Amino acid sequence: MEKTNLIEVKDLRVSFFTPAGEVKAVNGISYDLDYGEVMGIVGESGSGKSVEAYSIIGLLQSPGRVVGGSIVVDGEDVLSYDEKRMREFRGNTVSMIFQNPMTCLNPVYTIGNQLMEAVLCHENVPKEEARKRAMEMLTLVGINNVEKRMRQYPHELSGGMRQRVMIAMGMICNPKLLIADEPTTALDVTIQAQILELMKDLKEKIKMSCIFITHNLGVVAEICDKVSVMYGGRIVEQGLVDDVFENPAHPYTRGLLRSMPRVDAESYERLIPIEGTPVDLLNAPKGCPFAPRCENCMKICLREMPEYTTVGEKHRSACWLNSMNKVEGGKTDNE
Amino acid sequence: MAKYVIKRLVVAVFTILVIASLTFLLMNAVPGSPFLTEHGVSDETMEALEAKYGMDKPLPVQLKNYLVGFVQGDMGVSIKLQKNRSVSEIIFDKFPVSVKVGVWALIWAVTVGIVLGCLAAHYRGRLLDSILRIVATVGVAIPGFVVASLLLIVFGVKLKLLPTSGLDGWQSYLMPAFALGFYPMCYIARLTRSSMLDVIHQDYIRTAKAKGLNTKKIIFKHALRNSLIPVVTYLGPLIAYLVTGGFVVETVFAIPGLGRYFVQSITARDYPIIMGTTILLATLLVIMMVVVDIVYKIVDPRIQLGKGGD
Repeated sequence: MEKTNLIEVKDLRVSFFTPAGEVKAVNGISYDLDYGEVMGIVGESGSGKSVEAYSIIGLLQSPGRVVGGSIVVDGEDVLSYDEKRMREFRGNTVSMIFQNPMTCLNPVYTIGNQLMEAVLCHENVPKEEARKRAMEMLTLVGINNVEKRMRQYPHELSGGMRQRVMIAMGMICNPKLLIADEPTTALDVTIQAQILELMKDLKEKIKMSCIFITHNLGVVAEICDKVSVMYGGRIVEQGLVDDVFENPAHPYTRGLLRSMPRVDAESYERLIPIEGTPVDLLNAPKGCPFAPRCENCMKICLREMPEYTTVGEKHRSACWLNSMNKVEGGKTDNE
Repeated sequence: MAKYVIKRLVVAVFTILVIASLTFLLMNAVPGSPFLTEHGVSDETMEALEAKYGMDKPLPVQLKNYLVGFVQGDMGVSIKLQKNRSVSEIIFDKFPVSVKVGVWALIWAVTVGIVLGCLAAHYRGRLLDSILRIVATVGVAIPGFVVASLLLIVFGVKLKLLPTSGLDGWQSYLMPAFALGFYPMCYIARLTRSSMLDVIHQDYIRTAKAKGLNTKKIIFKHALRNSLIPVVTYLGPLIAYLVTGGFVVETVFAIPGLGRYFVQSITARDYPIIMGTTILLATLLVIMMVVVDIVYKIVDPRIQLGKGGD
């Protein structure tokens, strides 16, 4: 029997039906994540990484819609959930934290109220119990003076502290999966480091499974076990973090890595940007979405979308270059 | 907070004095006299009457006398409508009648208006929203006497379901309260709708959804409280106007309230009554402004009273 993963996404497709036409924001992505694993999803703005995450917990904004594929969490097909079942699932089995902690907490309710509310809406426990849990959670995410914080309003807390509250709120019902949508992007660098440290810590302590959406490769290297690189609504490369960073197979991943500052770089080395602009998903190209910006672009790249090629153990990439190298080696991956 | 409220109340007293003085001067600037009748009045009678009510003195002196009397709790006596009855007694008599109708109008306007506004925002662009929008727009556009007269004709005269005039029994409150509260209800519904449409796209509403809260809780707990500021702003003066009575509604339904009496006193040039009712309305308005500021602070803890402005 096949071992069940925590989450299995197969050929997920999400489109936005705008007056100008169908925008294929997520165009057939597949991945799986085991219990206790942390996966990073990297990609530039508009690559579909957030849309993909929102579709897991059914928070797609109209006119966005899942048009194909499946999402199975803990053995259950999430896409078949009705509204009521989805509400029980959200915040309980899978919860989500967001990019901007300054605007994500309701300004007119106290921290305690908002934390307790999450417990009370999923579990039939007395208020006192919910309060106790909220205070434990705040302590766990490294907030001191908990009694006082419970009574404070969001505007009385700093940005870093609010993100800690958001994390506490996300984990208060012991979800099986936490989706973090760019949780450090809106914070300044020192606070970013603290929040990352906290998340690493939580990963060790409570074996939290997490999907970490970011465009910061440094963050991925720091905290993730696996990484999926997205471009133009597709996953172009996927694998264990070490493999992908050591041997990037896709030209886009190589471009991303080259454009990132390194501590061990020589002083004369310059960062190399990826030329061009992100793909227009309304008029997506026929072939590989990255082809127009790719330094290794071939004729076939403009005509046909490449299949995934296994380039290492649990490491695959969607690029004609890889599959051609493979053919020469005499083997293709027909996933 | 206490310091802020005291400061505001001191300012309020001065505001009321200024309003009283302006009303007094404007009222006297209008040509004519309360003692003129169709038959004509002899000069001697006129002088005697003016002397009796202290109106023979220069205006500034009259104003001073009035204000001094007012501060001592004497608002004078009616000179025309209910001759020589004290103004405070008349107000104590009429005001509660208007308050009773006004409070019912207020309750229904606020509860129904807010709920409809929330529903319209939640179902934006759907049939329910369109219907509510049409009702609210019509309600804001048609004058009060049309609503009142329509009610009177349909429920009072044709169907004979409700009493057409006076105030005895709860049934007689239904039509006046409905008519008085209809415009504010529509206005509040529109305010709530537009303000809530802003709020439901905020990030914290997404957080509330991600938590797994149900729609009712998201709309009525998380979104509503953030949408209430414009409604509270409107409610302040509205409460003052509703409890002092609507002239149209009180006239159509023959309710012996203050609103109708106020207009009658102006027509009759019953100076002390005009002054008394105006000061009452002004006082209520000014107090409501202070109350609104305090309610802001309760609705939204980010608001700091007495910082900046003032």
